[in-house]
Amino acid sequence: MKTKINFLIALTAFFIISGCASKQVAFFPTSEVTYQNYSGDILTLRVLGYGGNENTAIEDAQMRAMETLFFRGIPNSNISNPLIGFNENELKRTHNNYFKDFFGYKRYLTFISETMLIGGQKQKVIATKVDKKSAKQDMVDALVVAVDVLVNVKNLRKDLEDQNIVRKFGF
Amino acid sequence: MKFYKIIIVIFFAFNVSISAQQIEQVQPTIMVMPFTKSGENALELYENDFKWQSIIARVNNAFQERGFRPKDLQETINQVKKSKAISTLKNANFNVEEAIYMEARTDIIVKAFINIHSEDNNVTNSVQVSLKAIEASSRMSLYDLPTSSSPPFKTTDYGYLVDRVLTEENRIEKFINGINDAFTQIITLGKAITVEIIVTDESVFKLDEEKTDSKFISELITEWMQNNSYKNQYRIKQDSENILSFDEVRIPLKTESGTNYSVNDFARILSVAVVNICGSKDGVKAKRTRPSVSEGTIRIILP
Repeated sequence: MKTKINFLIALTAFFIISGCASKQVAFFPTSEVTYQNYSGDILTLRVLGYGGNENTAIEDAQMRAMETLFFRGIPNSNISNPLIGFNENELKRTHNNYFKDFFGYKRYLTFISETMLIGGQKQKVIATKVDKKSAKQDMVDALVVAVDVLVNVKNLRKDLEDQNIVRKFGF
Repeated sequence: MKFYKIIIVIFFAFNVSISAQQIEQVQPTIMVMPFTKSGENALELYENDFKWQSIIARVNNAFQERGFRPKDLQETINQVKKSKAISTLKNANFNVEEAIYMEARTDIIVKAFINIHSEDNNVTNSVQVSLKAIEASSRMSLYDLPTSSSPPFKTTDYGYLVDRVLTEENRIEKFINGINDAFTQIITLGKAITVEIIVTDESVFKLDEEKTDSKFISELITEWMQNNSYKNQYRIKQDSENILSFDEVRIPLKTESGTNYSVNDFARILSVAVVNICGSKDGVKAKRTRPSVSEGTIRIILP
């Protein structure tokens, strides 16, 4: 009997701990992307990424670079207009499969030729804490990294054209 | 039997819809031309000076990189020489530029402008380059790449300097993207053409002749244009007793069924409409004249 009680206590504790662990932090979407260089096929961007550790922060920076390139454009560069368009939500809905593959299955990595970590700093930033029951904004501890992301724009545009996400050159 | 008929009808309907989807859009033709200050023969310079060839090659290459094939200037020049039976453009006794346009018949002309800035007795040089894309039919500017300069170099290799200006910061790509954005506008608003309805000595009807509902022929033609231009996009340039001209009439690139639509298609229905508007005079029915279509301009002589 005692063994059964111990087992139940252990099981309850496990669920409580795993419940706490499932609480996720969603950092605000930002376009902290600065143009560095665009020569030949490669566009170099300096991006700020947020995460719990270095790997997640770098990944976040890479995704932010791509999102900004797709839906905002890079200011002060020759790609100041977005590569796909401004209407982000509608475009993502229309080309759901492409973006699921691109961001969800990390296909964007195949268009990044290099990622260089410039530096990182632990900071308290405002973010949304999401759990099963609620989502609330709060200050959280995060690692903020500055990363240089080198994007192979020529092939990326070709891919977007081939997948009919953007129109090819011409009518 | 009825069942088979239904199957055949469904098959054909499906087949028609498939073939409509498969029709490829006719693409515009583009040619890159050198452009100089008035008085200078740019084409003569192009044939004899490498820096001009370099800029044209670089811009052509940028189009090709995007899967587009522009018309070759040198080949067009050769065709003009052949048709005019000359070996050089130097001192040609005809308008070379017009002859090139007539030969190439391009929808879009890209003009490349180069200016050389020299210092230290022509030892140190820099080049200024600007590009301009113009729609041949409406003469409207599609996109301008503002003047950009190369840094001064101790070289006379102008081809290198031109190449540097265009590839640095991928300026050439910005130009290509700018033209493509203008294409998006053309797809949305339609292709711009110009229309002229002219009264000659042989015309039986006059533009200021009253017809139905006390309306002049010119007013009825304008009404037709309003109803038949794509998204009602039209603009009158001149409306006098001898000429009714529209400097911008938009026509679609494709019909509703998905087939390509050309200026000639619009010219055909317009000339039929003009005859119908004129109707008859003294018991003689208006006779349709063949519309002339050249570089996106339709000219119709009033019957």
